[in-house]
Amino acid sequence: MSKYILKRTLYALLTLWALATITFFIMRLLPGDPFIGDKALTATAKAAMNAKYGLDKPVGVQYLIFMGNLLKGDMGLSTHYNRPVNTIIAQAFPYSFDLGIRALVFAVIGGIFAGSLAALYRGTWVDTTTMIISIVGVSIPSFIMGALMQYFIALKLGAAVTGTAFAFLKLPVIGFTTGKHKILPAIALGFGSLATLARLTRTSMLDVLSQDYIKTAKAKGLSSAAITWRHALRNALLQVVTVLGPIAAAVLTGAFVVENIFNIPGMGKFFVQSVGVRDYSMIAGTTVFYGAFLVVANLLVDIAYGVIDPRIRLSASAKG
Amino acid sequence: MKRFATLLLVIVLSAGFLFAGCQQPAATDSTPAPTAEATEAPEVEATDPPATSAYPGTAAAGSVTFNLGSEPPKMSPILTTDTVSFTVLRHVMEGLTTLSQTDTVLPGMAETWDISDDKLTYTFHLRDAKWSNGEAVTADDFKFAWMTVLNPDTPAGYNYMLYVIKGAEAYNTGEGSADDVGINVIDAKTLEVTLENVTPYFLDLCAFGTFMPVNEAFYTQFGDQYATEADNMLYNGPYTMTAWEHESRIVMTKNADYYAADSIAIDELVGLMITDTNVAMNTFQSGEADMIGLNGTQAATMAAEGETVQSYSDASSWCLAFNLENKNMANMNLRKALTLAIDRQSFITNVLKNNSAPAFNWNPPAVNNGDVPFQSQLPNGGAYFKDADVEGAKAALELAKTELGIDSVTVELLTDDSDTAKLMAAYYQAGWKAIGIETTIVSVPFKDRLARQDSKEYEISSYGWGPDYNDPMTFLDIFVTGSGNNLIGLKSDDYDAKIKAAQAETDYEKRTQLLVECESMLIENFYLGPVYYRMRDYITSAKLQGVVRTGFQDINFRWATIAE
Repeated sequence: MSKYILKRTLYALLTLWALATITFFIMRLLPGDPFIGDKALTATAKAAMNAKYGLDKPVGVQYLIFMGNLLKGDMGLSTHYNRPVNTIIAQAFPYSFDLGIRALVFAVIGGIFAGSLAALYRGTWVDTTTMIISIVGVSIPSFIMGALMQYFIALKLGAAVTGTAFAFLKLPVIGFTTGKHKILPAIALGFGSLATLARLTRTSMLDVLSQDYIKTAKAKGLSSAAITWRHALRNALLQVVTVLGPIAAAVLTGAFVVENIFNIPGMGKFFVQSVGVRDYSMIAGTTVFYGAFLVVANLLVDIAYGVIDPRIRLSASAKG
Repeated sequence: MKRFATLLLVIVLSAGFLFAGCQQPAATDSTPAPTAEATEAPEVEATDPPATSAYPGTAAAGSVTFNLGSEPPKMSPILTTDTVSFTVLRHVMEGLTTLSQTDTVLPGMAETWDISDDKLTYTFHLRDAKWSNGEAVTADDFKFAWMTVLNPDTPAGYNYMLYVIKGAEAYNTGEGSADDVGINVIDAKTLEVTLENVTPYFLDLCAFGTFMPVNEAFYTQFGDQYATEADNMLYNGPYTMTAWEHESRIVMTKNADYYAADSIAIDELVGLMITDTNVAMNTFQSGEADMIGLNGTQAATMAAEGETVQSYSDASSWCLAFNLENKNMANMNLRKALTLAIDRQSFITNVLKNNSAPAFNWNPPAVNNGDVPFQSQLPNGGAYFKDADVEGAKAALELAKTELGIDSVTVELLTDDSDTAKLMAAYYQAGWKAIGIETTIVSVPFKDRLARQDSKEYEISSYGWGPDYNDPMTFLDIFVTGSGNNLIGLKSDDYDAKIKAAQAETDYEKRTQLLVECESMLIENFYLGPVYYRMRDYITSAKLQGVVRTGFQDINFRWATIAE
């Protein structure tokens, strides 16, 4: 097991190095530079800016400095905000994490619940409704979902209930301060993943339900609740765990736009902005940070398989 | 089973979010807002009907929420160059002078000033004013800030704004010494500034963000992280920044130590950083914001609802910039044909959908020469040519073809990749097609467009310029040979000489004559093809009155009030 983890960790580090290197060189190919603007700079100002942000050195030297600092955990100074990228990430990531976790919890609980229901009531209206909703969920991107919910729920429903006994149903359009503020962004961000999980859970649940050991359990006279929970769902969930890595990635990247729509001060706004303004340290910093986050998430999922299902660990060690 | 039950419990609890808390019921029958006070109303708003709105606005008493539109990237007055940062600075800092509702100069940190007979030396007498840490604002604070901007090692994008000061450019470019810069501290309350040339707009400049004072001791404590957080900065303006949640919102609170605190009506300003116009609209309509900007379609929707849409000129001028280094664009008649063929009024009605005005010269109506709009001093009030002059365009095109020795003309138009920019380009394309010119549109990201303009890799660019200060010179001196802003690549000894003469001219009439000649030279030769002067639309809730918005003060709440 430890050999397996060590190998996976080495791969993860290699992935991160490649990511940082490719990002570093590709972003330099973008036309324009961080300091070009509407109004021309004086030669003095331009020279001072290049010196301050280390852009006066040859690209190769810049790369070595960048990698050296990265190893020390220092992602440099943002050219756009003039603040350390580390500080910006430290301030912004908690918001993104908070939103992401809420969306994930919503997606996982909602998805498994809806998928199980659909499987247990296969062929009935419950199944049809759940699957129609999940097709819609898979098809609509989170930013459209966010915009629609903002308009129809926060604005229109909010206006309709204002002044009535249901005024407590009014949700804020933007912000991320109170629990009420977090409902719509979390749903918008999590809905697509919820739909994916619901479909997956339904399929694997149906698969499991047709297995012989379920028939045996029924023959033993176990209650249907016990069969669902102890046998069907538990085995069906194994498949669900395998997609948690990609789902986490979908939630993270979806957050870029959802944060923008709901004016949430998370990483998304900084990440999108940084490309437009050619903020090299910010582009590299956020990319490497997100890369590291995803690589670690995938690593944990990989290790989790090994723990949950010994067959995976064995086959991996056998090959390695 | 227990775990499943726990999961269910979590779901129920999550749903409980919905029922948590209780929203304060907002007033459903909003009383009509009282009309804006007519006294001291700024010129721009005098023509507009007083704003009343069916939208009551935010609930918090004494507080106003507005959309800043984006994060102020750099709040240090030494480094910053962008409109949003300057808008925040306008509220939390004050220079030697400040601007009135109509952009005229008012005393600021300087209570009075004397100007020498040769108009080259200004002596400012400072009032008793305090920084937000209780220290006095002194003449040294101004000298320190200005010298830091001019220090060659400071990455200050607007350092050239201070080049009007004697010896400033020489020091900044390494050719002179700091000791020769014309900024003298006579005593703590007296600052003497000597200028390089007569600068009629110097007092306007003193109100500009780059000319703000900075407390040296406080600045040194934070070094290059000065003004990166609300607590890393000292304030001396009508407000202080009390919270800054990056990329989300800024909170400004009335500064009780401000010398005119009694005349500040609004206790708290909350600036949101919403980039998406539709989101901003939802925010306004749900009562989470009191002022937002509107795009053309939104303005039409709000007007149809019976709302009063307000407009202001941001004093920017938009044109077709022709790259004179390009063989075809070097032909005057081709530039003329391209300029005359455009139907500006129809363009504004159908593409911009706002109150922008068709342009027939370069300097916009908002720019004054002294006390008079510069445009009124131009031949025909600035109407150098006719709108949608298709016949004139066709005639010019025929001449151009003969002169260039070609049968057909294809031009390349460089634009941003925003939706509006693409629509604009398509409109130009259609207009030129009508007179027989084919157009290739090159839509690129903003920074890409700037890079191409910079390296002259374009033929025609859809281009705009906003003023740095209220004087026609800010629109004219950018086209001297070698200027970094001279995107058209104009190289005219005559033009350069006239600008230089105007910069040194002390006589108002003679200087005006020179500026008029420069403007005429730009337009009569069609070096630029003027298209429109931009107006921006916005809306305020019934709660908010009297916000000042002009080309030189994008947003100013200094004079605003909350309706009872």
